[in-house]
Amino acid sequence: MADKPTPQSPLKRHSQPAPQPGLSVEEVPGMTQVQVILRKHKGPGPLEGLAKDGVSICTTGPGEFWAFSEQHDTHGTEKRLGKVLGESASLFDQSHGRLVLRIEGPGALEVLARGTPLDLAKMPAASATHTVIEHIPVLIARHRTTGRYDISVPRSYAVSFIAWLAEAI
Amino acid sequence: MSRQSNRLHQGGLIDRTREISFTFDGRALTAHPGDTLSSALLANGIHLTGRSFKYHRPRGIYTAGAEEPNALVTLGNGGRTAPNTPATMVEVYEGLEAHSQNRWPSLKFDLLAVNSLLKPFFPAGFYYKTFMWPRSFWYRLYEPMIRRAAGLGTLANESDPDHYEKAHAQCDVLIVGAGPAGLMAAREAAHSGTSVLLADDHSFPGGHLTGEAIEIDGQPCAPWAAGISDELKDMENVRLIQRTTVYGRYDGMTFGAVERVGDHLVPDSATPRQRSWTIHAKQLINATGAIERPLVFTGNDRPGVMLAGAARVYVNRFGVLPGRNVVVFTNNDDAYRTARDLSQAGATVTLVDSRAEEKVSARGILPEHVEVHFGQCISKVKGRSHVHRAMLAPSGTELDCDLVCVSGGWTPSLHLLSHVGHRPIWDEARTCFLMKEPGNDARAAGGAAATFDLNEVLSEGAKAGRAAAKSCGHGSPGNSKLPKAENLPAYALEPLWRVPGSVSRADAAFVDLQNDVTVADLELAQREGFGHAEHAKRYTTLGMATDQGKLANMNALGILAELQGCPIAETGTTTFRPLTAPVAFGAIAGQTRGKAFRPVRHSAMHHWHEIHNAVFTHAGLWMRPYYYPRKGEDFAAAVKREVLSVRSSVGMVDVSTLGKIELKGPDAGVFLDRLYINSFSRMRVNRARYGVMLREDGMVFDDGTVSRLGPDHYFITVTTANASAVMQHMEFCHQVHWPQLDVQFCTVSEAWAAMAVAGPNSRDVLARTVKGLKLDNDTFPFMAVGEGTIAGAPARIFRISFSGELAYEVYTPAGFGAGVWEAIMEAGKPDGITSYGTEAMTVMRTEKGHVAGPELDGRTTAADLGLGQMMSTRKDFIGRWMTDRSGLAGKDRLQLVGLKPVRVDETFHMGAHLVNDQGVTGVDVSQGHITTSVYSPTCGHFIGLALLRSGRARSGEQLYAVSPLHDESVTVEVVNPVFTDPNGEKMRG
Repeated sequence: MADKPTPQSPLKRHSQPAPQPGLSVEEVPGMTQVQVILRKHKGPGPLEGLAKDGVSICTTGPGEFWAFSEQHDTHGTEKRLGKVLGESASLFDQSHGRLVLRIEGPGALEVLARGTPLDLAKMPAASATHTVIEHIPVLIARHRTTGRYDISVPRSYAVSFIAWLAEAI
Repeated sequence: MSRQSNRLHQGGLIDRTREISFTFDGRALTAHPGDTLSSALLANGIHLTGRSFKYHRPRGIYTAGAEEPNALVTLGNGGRTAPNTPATMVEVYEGLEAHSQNRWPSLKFDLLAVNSLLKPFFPAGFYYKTFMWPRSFWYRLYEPMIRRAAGLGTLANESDPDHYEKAHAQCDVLIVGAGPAGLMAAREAAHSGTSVLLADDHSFPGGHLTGEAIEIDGQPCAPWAAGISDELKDMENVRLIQRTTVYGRYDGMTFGAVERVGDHLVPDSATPRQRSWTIHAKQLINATGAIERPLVFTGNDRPGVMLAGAARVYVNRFGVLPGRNVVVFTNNDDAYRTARDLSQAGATVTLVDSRAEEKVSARGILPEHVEVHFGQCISKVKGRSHVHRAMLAPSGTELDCDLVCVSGGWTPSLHLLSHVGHRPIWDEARTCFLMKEPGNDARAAGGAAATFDLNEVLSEGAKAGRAAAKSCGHGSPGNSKLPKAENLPAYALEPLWRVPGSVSRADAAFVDLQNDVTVADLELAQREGFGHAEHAKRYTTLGMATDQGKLANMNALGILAELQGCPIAETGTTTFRPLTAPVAFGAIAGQTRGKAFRPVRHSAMHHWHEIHNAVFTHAGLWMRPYYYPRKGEDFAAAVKREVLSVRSSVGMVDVSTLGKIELKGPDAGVFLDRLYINSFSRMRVNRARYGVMLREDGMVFDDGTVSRLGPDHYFITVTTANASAVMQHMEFCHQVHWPQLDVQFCTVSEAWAAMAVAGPNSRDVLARTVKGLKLDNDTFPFMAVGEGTIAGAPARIFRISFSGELAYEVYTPAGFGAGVWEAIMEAGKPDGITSYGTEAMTVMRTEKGHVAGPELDGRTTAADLGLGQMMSTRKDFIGRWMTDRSGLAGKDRLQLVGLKPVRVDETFHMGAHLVNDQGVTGVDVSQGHITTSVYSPTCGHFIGLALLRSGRARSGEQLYAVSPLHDESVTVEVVNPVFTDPNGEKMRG
């Protein structure tokens, strides 16, 4: 049996924007992303324990969460989520559907403000929000680290998004 | 290179240590950093800057701000041409190129100035009364001719090489205008802790203080303003944006603004020319100040006539003396400061005041030698290309002059307060319109609230800042000390809408300088029954130019009121709409132009398609391979080859663009039963089924496949075009109709790459690549679903056929898409596998009689499409009951049929109508229309699908397919819509 191949980034043949003073942009390859939707009449359960497993989980809507993990292990992440959530939620793997660009630095907010109408300065740490940048639906997650944002971009839009980003910075 | 003959030896906020070069109409001139184009032209002794819109009258610089009606110039050249730019707002940079407009052959000698002589024959409404017959001449002759004769600058035909940005900003308090009121408001609001965005039109803060010789707290007002500005810049909760025009206020406290980022710099490719801001605020403080009113008398448009406040700005801010022999004409005390400042700068000044001496309190600020004519008006000025004499009435005195400064009072700038529907109210005491009820989220301060005493302005600004902060939940920072300005004379305005008896037919008194509307035009409008403000505006075009009547409207309302003998409050007023000032299309478009006009979507296999010579087609935002021409092949040859390859061996098409939705939960099956006309809750696990959804009105909404991956786990595909719409429909149904159902679903369209492998050899090809799944017909029959791996990647395999061939759809996580595609292509080499595009796919689905977008046009029922048997009678589903309506169940409905030409060498087009008799025209003769037409390599002739009245009963009938667009009439025969393998033996085999 062939080894499991490495997922191919949609930006494989596209250069990413060069770092600028106070700003860096890099793809986080192979990040695990799981969409979590609560079942009816079920509470979310205690989610705090996930952080120590390297899984960050953010509310993205009523009864909806988005789990990120840099461990490149969807199965393991789903397993850990399942352990915490039990029967209370359904999980949907979105890892291959979206690439994650990490924008970091004092200039990050200014760059993102060129695309999204949301006030990201008021976004709590370790939270995420859906928004639209230049007609592209994206999910922006704010890290606990100040000035670090992960932008989850639908894979098919990756080339257009990176073109916008290159202009914006 | 000219000498700056009118530059004062000292004073002004310019950098005298440096000199920069620019050109006006090709003439090389110099300026200093800090100059605007208008100040630089005046410094060089140039008043004449353009020709007027309608009469081509010589016009000069009239203001020092954005309200400039006359000095509109064209900047740059080629793609950077920027017409109709107020010279007063252009900061001069090295190499700036400016041209006057609306003149030929030159500014000084303009042939169309003959219009001015013919002015008595060109009153308001002339064009509409005169150019009426023959009607056909309007578009061909009259309008082009009038447009050529009238008008402003000309747009470039080349692409704009500059780039523009968009940005968003949020704040608690948006303050528009960094004059004394705005600065105080910003300081107070900021010290309370609220977030403040201060947007200002000019290159540095201070507003009108930058053009005044006044002291605040013992220092000149301009440095005082700069000090406040520096204090604000150091605060983290304040953002100050200069060179920014807030042009519109919209619902929900959203504002549009344009920042002129690079307009004052030598153009380069790195700096954006402008940045378009969308600002979201909780509170607005409108500190936009006031605009000085012109005075209306004969010849008041001549070059050398200028607003009094503007002349003061040129002296104090730019160190330019715009005239040496000046007459100041006023009806208020404010202009006395102009007379004082010009006199102190070395000009000889005479002041003409329409008021009686006892009403004037400002005389004392003038030097003794300044002569004042009380109770007098300028009735006329003389001088065609520049004023040289002013004639007074009633005294008849004549004064030689080279500059006439006028002040009719000040009009508060209310635009942003009015944009969302609030109507200004006339204030008789202050002789202006005010926004007395601006709503809970907006307030005015300073000149915009008709407060003209500087100490009151400072106090009012601070108060507005505190109030706005409090509305945002921030308490008062305490009583901060207010600055103290020197005491100035009272405003003491006595209205003068037009100088009595000054209107002559030979030389006009202009009300709207930019649109060439005169007092006589308003009188004509009144005589003809268009005296209401709203009517007069449209009859005369008053206030409809690029300055939006900023200078004209107030005088016009006063004149109309006088003509009607009623108070101004009864003549009506117009409200304001965005935009307050012209905005470049480039700024509105931002990055959204050219290739970035809209995003494009690529599948995981896009690169493979590119290097294999795919010709792409747009499918919504997706770029899909249309066909893959080989050397020497045209479109038809490539499509034919692709179809025949699939029919005879095997081919593969990228279907990643299909919408994909995954559902989980114990009620997922029930949910799908209610959405689709057929049933899925009892479908076996690892099976797929074709499904059709209806809209509420019974028409077909979408179709696709539903697969059951587990007891509580489904996977559906929907059409590329409806991927978002179906997801929205499902969300609505779940949230509104059936919230009790325990089902969770989301789109996974991006997560999966998908490809269809079709053809008699498709099983063999896949069998060579798929691991962990047996594909023989018994184990994996038609509509079976299974999982395996391909090239090490997980794959979901569905035995589904759109082409009518033995076929499989292969889904793999998108990151593996390219690898899996390449592995299948490699495995298919022995069978000559071909990639095929959307056109070959269309040909094959048509041959098979499968419906798609052209048939699912929103007007067809499942029965119309021959899918009526799929509609379950044992369950309820969306659209079920509406399909029983008589109109949807009638036998004469348009039904799906197949078509073929009677003569096999003939072709027909999609959209052609089907008629019984050739040559008969009219809508009612149509029996139906062709929805799809393709050349079928399998049949060897054109085939089509059509919607034909009572079509299923008309098999064998001959009709005419008529397309007047193509000048085409072809005899066609109605046939079964399934042209190939009608019993489905191939796809089931």
